[in-house]
Amino acid sequence: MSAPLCAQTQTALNEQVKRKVQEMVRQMNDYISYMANPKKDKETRYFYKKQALNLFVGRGYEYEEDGIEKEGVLMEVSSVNRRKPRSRLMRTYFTGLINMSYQAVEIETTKCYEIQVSNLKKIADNEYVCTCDFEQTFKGFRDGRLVYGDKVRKRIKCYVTIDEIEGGVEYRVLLGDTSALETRKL
Amino acid sequence: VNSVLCRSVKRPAENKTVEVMRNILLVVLLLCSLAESEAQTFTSLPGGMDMKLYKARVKLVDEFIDRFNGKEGRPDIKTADSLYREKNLLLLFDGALFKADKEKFFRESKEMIDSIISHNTRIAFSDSLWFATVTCHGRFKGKEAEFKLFLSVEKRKEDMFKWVITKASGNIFRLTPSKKADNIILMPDDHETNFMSLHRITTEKDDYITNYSAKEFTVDETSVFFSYVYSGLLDIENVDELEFTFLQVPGYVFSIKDVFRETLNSGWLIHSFKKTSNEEKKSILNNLHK
Repeated sequence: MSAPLCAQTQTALNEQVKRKVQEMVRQMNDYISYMANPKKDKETRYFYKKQALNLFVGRGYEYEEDGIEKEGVLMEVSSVNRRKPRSRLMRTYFTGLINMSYQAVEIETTKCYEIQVSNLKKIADNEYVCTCDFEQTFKGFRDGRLVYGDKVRKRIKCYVTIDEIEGGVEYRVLLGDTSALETRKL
Repeated sequence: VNSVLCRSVKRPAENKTVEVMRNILLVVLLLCSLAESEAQTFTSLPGGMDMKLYKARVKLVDEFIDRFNGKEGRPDIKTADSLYREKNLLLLFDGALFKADKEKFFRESKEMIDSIISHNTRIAFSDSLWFATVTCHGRFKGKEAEFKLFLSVEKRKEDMFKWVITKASGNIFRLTPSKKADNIILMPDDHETNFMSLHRITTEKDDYITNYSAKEFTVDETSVFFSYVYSGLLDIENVDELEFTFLQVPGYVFSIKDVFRETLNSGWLIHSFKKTSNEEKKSILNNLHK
């Protein structure tokens, strides 16, 4: 059993993990942009889907939590006007991004270092959870005209493992279930 | 104005005038903030990232706690501001509250802020003096149902916590019979037939079952909730509403909700607050853990 961390160490740890989590989310958002980009060929876009899923717990496929078998990480989508959410497996959501019929898309996301991350909460020895919040705008174009656009607020559950290694600590972050709340149509 | 306010600390005789000025200043700040927020919405259309709004919004509950405790502040309030803490606390209130009756809400919120500052109240995730009220939408025996769950934070072991369901409340858990009558009973002579009527009362009209209980029996809604889920009769489909209630401020109870609007005054904000005695707080907690 590891010794409890002192407040100062905990704060420093929080900051380091926060940066790591922000970086992971930025990476996932980059992959989302590549997957949704109709100018890239399908093979490349599926490659990025695989890369993106690697960032998630169970690599986007089955995993076990609290002794319960889960089918995969979920993406829950709701809107301010229609609170009843629709849930999809993250891997299905990514396939949907690849198969969109827009001729061009623009995706803009909160800057990496601005992403809000909650405090780490310990769930087991060396294991923590936190949540990060960011905004994303999506615009889909056909014949140069904006045909669909929305602004969503995403919150991603993050699993953090902190291992002591020679000369320091190593952080591993995996992304989990995500909620997307559409706050505005553009 | 700030220098006048600073001087007031040293010269108590001027306190009343300065207090009035301070209040006026805070009202002006709040109104300006709200007006600016709404103007912001129009200038930022037709879309795209607006970092000013994003940074100002109280995006996570942890962020609300940090701003409440003065560990963080809204980025547009300068840390050198002599009213930094008061302004940040005031901007944690949902500005919509002030629209109905500016003076009343401002006076009352100011009193609560004074209590927070004078008692140096801090709130923490691990506190037992806060809880979540979750309005759930679910399916009970295939039919749509709404009910509330109350959750609080419980310690698992050193530096580890979890959320636990402390109470459930809703019509479906009350086991109210479709008919209540003095003559829906187990007959006084049923013992002579080996209580064979027990088979009838559990097969013929299920929702009459509480008619057969002792008169002092009260339904424990939370146990009914657990038993429905356990038996596969109830599924929670989604959370319709979520609010958190805090009892840490001496003399007050307040609740926060995630306010969705494209203004600086948005996110997790205080949408209700009430003067509350310690006795009332005890009663709230007892009711929660009953």
